[in-house]
Amino acid sequence: MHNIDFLIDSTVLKSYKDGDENARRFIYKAIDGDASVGICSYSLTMLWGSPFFDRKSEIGFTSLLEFVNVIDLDVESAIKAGHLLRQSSSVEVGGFTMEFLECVIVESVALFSGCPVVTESDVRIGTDPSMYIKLNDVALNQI
Amino acid sequence: MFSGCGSLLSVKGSTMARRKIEGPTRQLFASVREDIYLLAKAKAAEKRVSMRVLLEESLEMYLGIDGSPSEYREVVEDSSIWNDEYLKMQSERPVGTPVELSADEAKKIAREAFL
Repeated sequence: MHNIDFLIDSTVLKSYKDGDENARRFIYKAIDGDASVGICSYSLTMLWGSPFFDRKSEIGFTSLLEFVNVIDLDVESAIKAGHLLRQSSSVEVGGFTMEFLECVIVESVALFSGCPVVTESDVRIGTDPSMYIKLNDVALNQI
Repeated sequence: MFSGCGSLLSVKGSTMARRKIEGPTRQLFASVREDIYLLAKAKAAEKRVSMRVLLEESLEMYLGIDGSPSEYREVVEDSSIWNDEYLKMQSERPVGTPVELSADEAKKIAREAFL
């Protein structure tokens, strides 16, 4: 169990980089300590590996990590993510994307952390769709 | 820059005369004291301008600049964190180069790196 209010994925930080107003409002809450926000280490892989990533992105995101809890994939979450992946239809149709793998890992970590996932993605893995919150909802209403 | 999740100071739906917006814009959200809001609203109605124009003019006066967008841009560019000598030097290094920052620097960069 991690002591966080929200788990974000890479789509939230991509929106923050793109200047999205809801992302900015939400991330400022994390920076100011008004919300405890976590991010999976796999989501960092997604960010650092994305085509838009440059040196300024690296400096900006590295600074931001001072105010966001980075959560490593532990054994329980890794096993749960494997179950979710195996049960998902994406595997049956022959493979999955890095984005889908991130969704599976993030959902698994969120389940064990007991907190909702904040995302801009529309992908829902399946156990409980209500555990997902769109960025604009959380930025305006929940904190 | 204001942030918050209280009342929205909105200019939507205004029927006042509109000044054409030149250049990029940013949305501004703020919870302001109701008495100030009501006085500003009344002043905007009296001048027959929108709240947006009233706010822009007030901010121009406060910042001591005239209304030309190019001057706005100069002010914004001058205040960019990437004009800082250390950050400018860091930003020219290859991706993956370690960055050492104090807590205050990290907070400022985290807030302003992507403005």
